[in-house]
Amino acid sequence: MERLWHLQQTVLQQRDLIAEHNDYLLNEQRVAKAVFDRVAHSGCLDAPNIRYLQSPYALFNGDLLLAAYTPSGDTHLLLADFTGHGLPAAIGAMPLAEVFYSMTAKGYGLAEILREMNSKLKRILPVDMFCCAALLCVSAQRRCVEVWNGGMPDGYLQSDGQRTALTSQHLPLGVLRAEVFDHATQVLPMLPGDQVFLLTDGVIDTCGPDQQLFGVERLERVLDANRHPLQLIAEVEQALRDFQGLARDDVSMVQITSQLPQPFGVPAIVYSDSGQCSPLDWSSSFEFRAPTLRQFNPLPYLLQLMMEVHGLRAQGAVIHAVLSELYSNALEHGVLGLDSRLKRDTEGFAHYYQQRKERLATLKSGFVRVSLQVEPIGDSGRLLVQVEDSGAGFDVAKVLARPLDLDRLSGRGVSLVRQLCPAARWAPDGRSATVEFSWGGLA
Amino acid sequence: MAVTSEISADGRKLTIAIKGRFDFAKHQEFRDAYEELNPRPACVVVDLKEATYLDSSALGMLLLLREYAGGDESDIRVVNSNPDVRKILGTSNFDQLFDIN
Repeated sequence: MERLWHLQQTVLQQRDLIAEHNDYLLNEQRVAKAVFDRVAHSGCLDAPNIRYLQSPYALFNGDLLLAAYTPSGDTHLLLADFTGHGLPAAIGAMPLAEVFYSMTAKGYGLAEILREMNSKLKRILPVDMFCCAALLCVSAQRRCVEVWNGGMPDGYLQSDGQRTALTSQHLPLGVLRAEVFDHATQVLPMLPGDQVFLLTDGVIDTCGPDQQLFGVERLERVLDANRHPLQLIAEVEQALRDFQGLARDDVSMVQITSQLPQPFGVPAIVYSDSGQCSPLDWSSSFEFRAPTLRQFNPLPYLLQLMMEVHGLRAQGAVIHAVLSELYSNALEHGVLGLDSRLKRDTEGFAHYYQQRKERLATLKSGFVRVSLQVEPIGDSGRLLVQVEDSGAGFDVAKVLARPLDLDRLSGRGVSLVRQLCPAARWAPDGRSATVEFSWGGLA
Repeated sequence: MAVTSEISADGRKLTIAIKGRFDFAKHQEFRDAYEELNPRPACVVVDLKEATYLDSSALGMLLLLREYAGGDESDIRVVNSNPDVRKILGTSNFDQLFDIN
């Protein structure tokens, strides 16, 4: 009898202990989630052109979804899936979100962001943990989407009734050492109104009652049957419910529609200085030569330098967009001699970016020179930016005579610059361009 | 046994065979199959003939094995995977790290 009493006491004690531990754990998770939500939801996931479905406890099953505007109004979107569940998966998500937001805001491209994410995860994660990820840069202005997929299921670009799979071409993040990591991206044409749909493997690995997986074919049937893009996620969700009658908690999906930015309604980067020290009278010139051009993106540094001039900050987005275009025109058409007419169709697009990669990798000579001049004029002032290259130039009169055609895929650079900065000038030989931005009473 | 292992007569080749789902539940058994072997085998074959499914923690276990077997210098072959398993290995591009056939 006494033994039974002791046994019951032990069971009760253990029950209370388990309940206490459980409360403790749940509270920890609640706090961790609250902290994480502040980090993860500081971006633009709520933008009208982004739709998504994510379990409220996605953090604890390793799914991560982030979106943010670049300084020039493009959108970076990341859908990632850490191996494992629970705290270990959640821990890696934090630095990933930090890298994503801070580098996107400073104007870094996908390549630099991917390299930083990979080396950070490689450093902090144990060998058997990694992070499958798909990272996009959707640019409505440049009519394209840049994609990197490492270990995620196929995503889909849906454009005018056509569907292109965005297939994983890389190992997940956090597996390879920095020296062998491959940040090569794919660039595809994507017009305003086109959509990209991404998902985690929870969708296709959803298990039916007879142990069958939902699978890619069922998913593609839902995509085929879809008539209203805005309904797509709801339709996939419904198909999963019909298939199994039981919702998994690790299903994440996101859909983004390419949309021109509202006339640069991009929130300006927040700077942590007092606004008292601004350099107002200076000039500087940079020459980036072949070995630098091969592997270095100078734009974030140049942008940061220019944004030290407080009067220019309100125009940061336009300055960034214009400088990005002038720099990539100088590099791609000037130094690398690529023909923008290639970009007329999807195939040409792929060919163009393949050639870009090959020519850049073997580049031996050439330069892009960027000259900046800031001068005060009373309480106002202006910035002159000149971008020169070592290429063969182009027939300026002919290109400028073309109408500002917004829907053409090729030759976007010059018309985009002219739209954003009507005072843009090109030297007659086509080897240099000059733009001017004023502030104060001159703006 | 869901995980069985066999050493070749000369001790140079270790074959690990997985049966059923290759997931976190096999973590310890899988490690036991290769750790503490002396001398260490020069080559490891992971036989997935009877593996029905493989999840991301199994991929993690393969990475641990690779690290143990010498990282970039390792010689690991993943053989006999069924189409579902091969698809998972393909999506993760593990063929960049392992000899998969």
